[in-house]
Amino acid sequence: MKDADPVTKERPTRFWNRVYAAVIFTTVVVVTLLWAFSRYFS
Amino acid sequence: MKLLDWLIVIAYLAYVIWDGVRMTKHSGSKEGYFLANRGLPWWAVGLSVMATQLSAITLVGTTGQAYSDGMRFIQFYYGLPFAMIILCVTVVPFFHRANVFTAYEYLEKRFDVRVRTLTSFFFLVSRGLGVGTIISAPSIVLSIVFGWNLIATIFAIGMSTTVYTMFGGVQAVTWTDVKQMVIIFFGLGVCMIVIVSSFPAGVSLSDGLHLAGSLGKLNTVDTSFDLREKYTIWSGLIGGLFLMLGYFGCDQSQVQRFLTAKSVDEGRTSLLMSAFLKIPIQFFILLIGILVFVFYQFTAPPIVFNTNEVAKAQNDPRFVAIEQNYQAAHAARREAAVEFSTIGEVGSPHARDAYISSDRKFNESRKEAIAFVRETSDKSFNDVNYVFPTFVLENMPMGVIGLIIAAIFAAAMSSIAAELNALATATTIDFYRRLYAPEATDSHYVFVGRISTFIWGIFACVVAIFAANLGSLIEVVNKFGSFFYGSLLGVFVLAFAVKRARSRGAFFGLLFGIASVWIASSYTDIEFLWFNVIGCLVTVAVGYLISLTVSTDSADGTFFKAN
Repeated sequence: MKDADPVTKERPTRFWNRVYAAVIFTTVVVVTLLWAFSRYFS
Repeated sequence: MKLLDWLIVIAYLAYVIWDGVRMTKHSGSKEGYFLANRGLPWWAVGLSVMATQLSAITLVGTTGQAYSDGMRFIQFYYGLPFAMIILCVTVVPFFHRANVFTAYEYLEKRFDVRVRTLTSFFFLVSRGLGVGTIISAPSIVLSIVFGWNLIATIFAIGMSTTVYTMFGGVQAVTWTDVKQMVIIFFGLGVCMIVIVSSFPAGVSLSDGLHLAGSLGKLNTVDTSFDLREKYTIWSGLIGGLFLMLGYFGCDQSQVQRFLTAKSVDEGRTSLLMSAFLKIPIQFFILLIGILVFVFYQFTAPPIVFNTNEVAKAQNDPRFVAIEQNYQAAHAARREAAVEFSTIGEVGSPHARDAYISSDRKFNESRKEAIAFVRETSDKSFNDVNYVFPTFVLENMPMGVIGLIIAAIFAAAMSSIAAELNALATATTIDFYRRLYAPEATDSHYVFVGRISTFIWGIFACVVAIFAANLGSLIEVVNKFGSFFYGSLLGVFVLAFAVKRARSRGAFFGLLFGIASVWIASSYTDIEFLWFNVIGCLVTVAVGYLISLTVSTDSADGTFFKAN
């Protein structure tokens, strides 16, 4: 791995797991906000 | 349309064709023409992924759908972020490391050439039809704007996109996508500002949303579990998840996007861009449809937005009485809307009830008018796709009309180009190179790719002529997809996740999967998003069972490449 091109070198799985968790968290927040938006204006 | 509008549209078209064609110099080799030498940055690929999905149908059909049906359509996208995560973990690294040109090429490594050819064939059929419907949406807009012949318009839009895709290949598709996304969002942003500023004095954006909300137009979460209900949180999370997995993971038009990325990481990041942004973008587009609805609370909308159809009815003397009744119902609703939003203060139960009641009467009078128009019409028509373009033409100021038409063009051309490029890649790589000329030169494959692009462009235009008369265009495209995506996804699940799967199982599993979707669509009331779930599960189950009948020592499928 130490000879790998910096552009093609992959980030560790731990990093990506955090990103995926952030995606799930953001999605839940967005859907909750949309639900709150519907409730507020109904 | 005024001269300025014409100039904006013509300048846009000229620029995008020039910008695409100048990429020809980077497209001499097959790696360059089909995969951009696997050297594109994540942000360009990410924008291209979104531009490919965001077609003119999204602008024209979704805004119309929000106008007539509210925001419930947004639930369709709730499964998308989860699908992107699954794809980032599985498909992106698999395809990148397999060094393939098409998703289906991988299936030959895992199974055999029959499975590869069959899946690629189904992709060509479903997307060949799909791109036709994508062309027809802006063509309808143009035919209304200029009074042109619809067929001539379809060929003008389809073939102009074909030209730059044919010469510039995937580089042209991606870099024009980036610029087209900028035009789309700028156009929509300006459109939203103009609509809100057109509300009567004293009616704010918040008041307008209260009006729409009181009629149930802003419902974004429906928790009922009913397979016959089109858009619920469950159909979005489950059916939508399977559809998005199939679309982004098995459809060459999307797979080709992240195959052009510099690395696995950049491919992942490009997909996650959609995971973060797609739902907010879709909300923004639906909100425009809602604001058009609010605008028409204070200004009488046409009885039918499709002016061609209403023209036939206007010749009938009975139509005068129907129109008077419609105008009176609108006047009553406008009065109630003004009272609810300004005089009676938003939230006043009495004003709210009066507004809801007047809206019900208005809808009854419109229903009566539409039934009459249908009687006098030669064919069934769908009004949804005409709402937004008609609104733009009748109510937007000079310059903004041209900008929005350019944005609709941009949305259409970005999707059409990606689809044509993917169709040409699958035709050249999966069929021509694999079955006919495996040892030809790079320049020969590029030549075949260009010819394929041209032929698919013609085919798509012919399909577009028929698609123009089908129902809500966005649903037509998704229905086409749902017939195949679930089953295609099932084959890839067998390939990636079922070690015991064999080529015979994958081959017949796919056929059974598609047959099951056809049965479900023909003999049940199940809504189309669930077809993806059915197709995938049947393909995996049948594929696995048939694989069990194949000896593990058999030449059929003993190969398993773990990657």
